[in-house]
Amino acid sequence: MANDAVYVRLDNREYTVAFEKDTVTVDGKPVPGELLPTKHKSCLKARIQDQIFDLPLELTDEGARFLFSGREYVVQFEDQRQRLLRSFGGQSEERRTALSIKAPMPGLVVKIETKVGDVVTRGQGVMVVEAMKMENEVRAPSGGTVKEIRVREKQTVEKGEVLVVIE
Amino acid sequence: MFRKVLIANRGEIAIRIMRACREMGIRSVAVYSEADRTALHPQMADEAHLIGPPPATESYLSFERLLDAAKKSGAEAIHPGYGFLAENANFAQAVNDAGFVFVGPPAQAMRAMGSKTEARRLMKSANVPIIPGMEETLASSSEAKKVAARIGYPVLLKAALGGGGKGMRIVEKEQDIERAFDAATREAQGAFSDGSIYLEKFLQGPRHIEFQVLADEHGHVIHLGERECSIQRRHQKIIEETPSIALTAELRREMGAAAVRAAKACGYVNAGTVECMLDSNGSFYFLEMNTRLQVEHPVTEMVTGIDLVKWQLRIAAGEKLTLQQEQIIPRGHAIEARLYAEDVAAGFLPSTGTIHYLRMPAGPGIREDSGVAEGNEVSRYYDPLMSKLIAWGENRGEAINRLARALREYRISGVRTTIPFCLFVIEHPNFQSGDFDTRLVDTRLHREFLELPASSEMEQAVAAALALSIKQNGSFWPREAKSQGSSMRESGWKWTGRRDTLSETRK
Repeated sequence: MANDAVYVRLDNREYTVAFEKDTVTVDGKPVPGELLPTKHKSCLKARIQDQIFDLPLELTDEGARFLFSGREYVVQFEDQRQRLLRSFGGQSEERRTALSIKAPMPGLVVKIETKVGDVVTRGQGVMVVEAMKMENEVRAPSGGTVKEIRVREKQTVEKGEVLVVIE
Repeated sequence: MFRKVLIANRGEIAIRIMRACREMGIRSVAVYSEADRTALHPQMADEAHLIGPPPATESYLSFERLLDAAKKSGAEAIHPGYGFLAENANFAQAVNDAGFVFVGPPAQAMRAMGSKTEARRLMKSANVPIIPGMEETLASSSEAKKVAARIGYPVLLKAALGGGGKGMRIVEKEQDIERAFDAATREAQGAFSDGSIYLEKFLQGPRHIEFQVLADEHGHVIHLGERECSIQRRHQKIIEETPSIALTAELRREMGAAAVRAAKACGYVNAGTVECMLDSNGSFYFLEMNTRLQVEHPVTEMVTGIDLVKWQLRIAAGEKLTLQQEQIIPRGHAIEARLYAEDVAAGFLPSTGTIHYLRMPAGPGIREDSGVAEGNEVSRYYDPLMSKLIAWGENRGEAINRLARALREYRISGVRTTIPFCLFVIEHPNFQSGDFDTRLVDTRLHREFLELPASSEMEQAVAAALALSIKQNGSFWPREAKSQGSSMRESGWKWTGRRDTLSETRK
């Protein structure tokens, strides 16, 4: 049974889900249910115990995301094999210290407010990116030293493009 | 009345105007850019004309292309909606010069009110209170420094031709003013093709209250009550309601009368909005007049039962405004939530993408003015406002409960939206008690929202459903999706991948 388990992480809470014949258990507790047919290509429909609901899922780099009952959730999963692999090789990855600041949306770099070697604090503005006629300040998600600046002023950037690397 | 009207706009407001046209038996003409070929608004019109490439300057902002489309279609009038050219007096003039009726105020009223500095001069003369500051524009950042020192920090730098928070900066201290001046100038230049900036005293903790007015060309002016628009992020409104919890009947009469004076002072015709700041002592100041239909006009329509867009069209056609002030009797309470395609966690940054799935709420007391449909793309080219959800209730409590219910019913994927944030705001104790001002979102609610603990409601069930899908389909996706999904990736589920900018700012 344990070999079949998958780990589902919703926001920051992890659930261990296992399958026994027709029953699903979540953290050891049986929660009978079934998937319901849906023609929709990005919406999952299910009955779990006495509740029926739809989950409009959207793939992201991190896993998936969905809006449900007015709340947004981030979901990720891992099976036994993936978890094992991560326990062997994942450590160095986990401790990586360089942090990339990515463009949160496509736009135009209006102004770069930092240079290589600068020490920035968490929340400090590093550049201004204009999108949809508004100037948006891109801020450092944590403190560090600016190691690389990968864009120039007046350059168009795509969503997810690395702008600055801090260490 | 007109037989055919061209709508020089896109998205939800274009559709809103088309609906009024259809109800009045007027044929509507949509214009669309290449980025909007499959958008909803061209589809909702009686006819649609392609006007150019995606950048607004080559399509929705091009006088020439809009007027060409108007000529081709045989429209008699042009409705500008809001945004784009709605407050551009030169456009209104060009429309008239080309022989069309502009559905909006006369160009000279727009010029007077469009220049924030001239508007301040006019209001002063009409005995409408104004915020201490300048009636001229700034020549340089050093002049800004001088004026700010005279009236005292904090000050607000504003685009003389501004609106919608563009080209606006609060400056708390002298060392920030140069940078703020540069940024505001750049933004104003980009948004309004005019980088002129002026400065006024920044009021701490005001409420933003505005009055809807209607005026005909025969000199009759009425107001339709106020809208409370204090719930803003980065100077952009996100929740609006009417009536305001902060106004007494007496203050409402006084402010309403001032709004009518303001409209008369500039020779206003058509629908307009007089925006005011209300400080904690109950003193109010004229902020600006928006010489167009407002995004939040539906809340006024819900409580008064009056269709503002239809009156805009009738007034533009030269008809008399037959409504009298004493006939305006608001009933109940209405609240609007603006649904933007935005990433709230990243600081309300635009979120672009294709809407894969969409199920909109409905039911008693709910009105949705939406501009998108499933399969539509929310592009980087235009404003990220997708839709407006409006709830009416017999009283404020019922309106809040209905709006919350509707927000919970919403299902959408493909873009991130302000839906969760709007729900958080209207359920917040400060919103519910009415104890808020324009600072609430930026100083408290945004942070509190990001720190919101994960909800355990339904989580186990959701986890089970997701696991079932993984088990049966090999991924979260339904089986049907996998077989046809070209853009669906099946691997790449990473724990470590979460460490990007967004998740970091969440902590």
